[in-house]
Amino acid sequence: VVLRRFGVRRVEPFLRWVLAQAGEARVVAPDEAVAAWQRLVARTRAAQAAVADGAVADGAVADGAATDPRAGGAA
Amino acid sequence: MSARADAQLQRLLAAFPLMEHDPDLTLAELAARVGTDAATLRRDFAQLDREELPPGWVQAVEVHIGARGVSMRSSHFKAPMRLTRPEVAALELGLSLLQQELPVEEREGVARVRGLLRQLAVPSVATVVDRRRGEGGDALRAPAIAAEAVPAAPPAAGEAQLAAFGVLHQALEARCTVALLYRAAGPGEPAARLVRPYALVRAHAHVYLVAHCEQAGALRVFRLDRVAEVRVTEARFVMPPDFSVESVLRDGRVFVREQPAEEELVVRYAPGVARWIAEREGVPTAADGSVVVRYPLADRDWAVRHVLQYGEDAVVLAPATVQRAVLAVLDRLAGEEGAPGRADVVAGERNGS
Repeated sequence: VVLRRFGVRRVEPFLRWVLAQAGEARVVAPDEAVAAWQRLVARTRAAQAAVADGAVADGAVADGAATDPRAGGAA
Repeated sequence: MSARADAQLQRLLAAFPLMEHDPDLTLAELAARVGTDAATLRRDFAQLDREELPPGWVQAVEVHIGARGVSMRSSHFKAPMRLTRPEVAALELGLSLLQQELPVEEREGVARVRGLLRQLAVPSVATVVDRRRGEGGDALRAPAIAAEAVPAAPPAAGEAQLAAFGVLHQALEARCTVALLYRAAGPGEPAARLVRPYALVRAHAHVYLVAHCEQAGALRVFRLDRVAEVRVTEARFVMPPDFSVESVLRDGRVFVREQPAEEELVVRYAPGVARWIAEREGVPTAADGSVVVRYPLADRDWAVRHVLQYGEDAVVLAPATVQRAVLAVLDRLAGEEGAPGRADVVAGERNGS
């Protein structure tokens, strides 16, 4: 476990960056940032759970298709 | 930041503008202009994601190393952009002065821009700043946030990968065909590939080789961390005169698997970020302001990280395996947060960056 400190000007984008570490990083201080982090995790989980539970119909998927090279991985 | 990371950052900051202005510089020429050697600069590019460099900014930088030169591409300005209250205040001040100088009939347009500008402010940051001011603190001093990372380091190029990077770059410059032992995504043993290296690309935490694969008879992209073995052959090749790594990456076609991807990632982005996603992906927004994008899915870990970076503003519509993976991460994080003593592991602050 490694502890790192960041000077953060914009809290929300930073918390989302931490969230994108997919469980390999989490906020531990200060308390107000921890609270904001917990709220973000809870909100994100609720949004994803609502879809996974079928609360949002799959019919919402539109026809617009796009490809992201990075999503496709490598050969 | 260590002295080594500081020096690395200095070299990168010197190199990027040169690459931007003169994409025909070779790696050796670029290194000489920066005051270092090609091997060091190659290592710098491969290690753009090392933990000591400022977080956030390098993820949006792509470095393309071709036979004809080194270039870069940045998507910094495509990310959802928000302004802090001081930034909004500064812009508002400028606009208000401009508004007063304009003829009356032209002032309404500036007023509308000022209204839009206020909507871009980040409420959470404004709250933090206001509270600090109320406590007599420095209103411009940013809060320090501590994050605990497990494992210690983000993905960084290992020595084997750096060695392969060097060998492939030399083969690319000499136009020599290369024999690879390559471990494709998914299960299975590494397979032998004979390729003509056209370019090396550092993007999204990985270094890729763009090459003509003789088995496939077409362009393919290989991730260097999946290259188990690399050997330069004596066979020479001629670079197609119309080859452009930028156009290859823009089209994205070579990133698909030889076999069609069995799964498709479908993500719905909320209206708060949909505008930027729609612009980036070139897809229309729905009537409610959201946007749905389909991606070929070959890397589930990438999908999880990609979706999580948007918080509640992005949800996985399909496949169920990725939905479950995202929920598993969130469940784990939610569970860990309740652990006693976690929040007081460290407290401190420094001036914001």
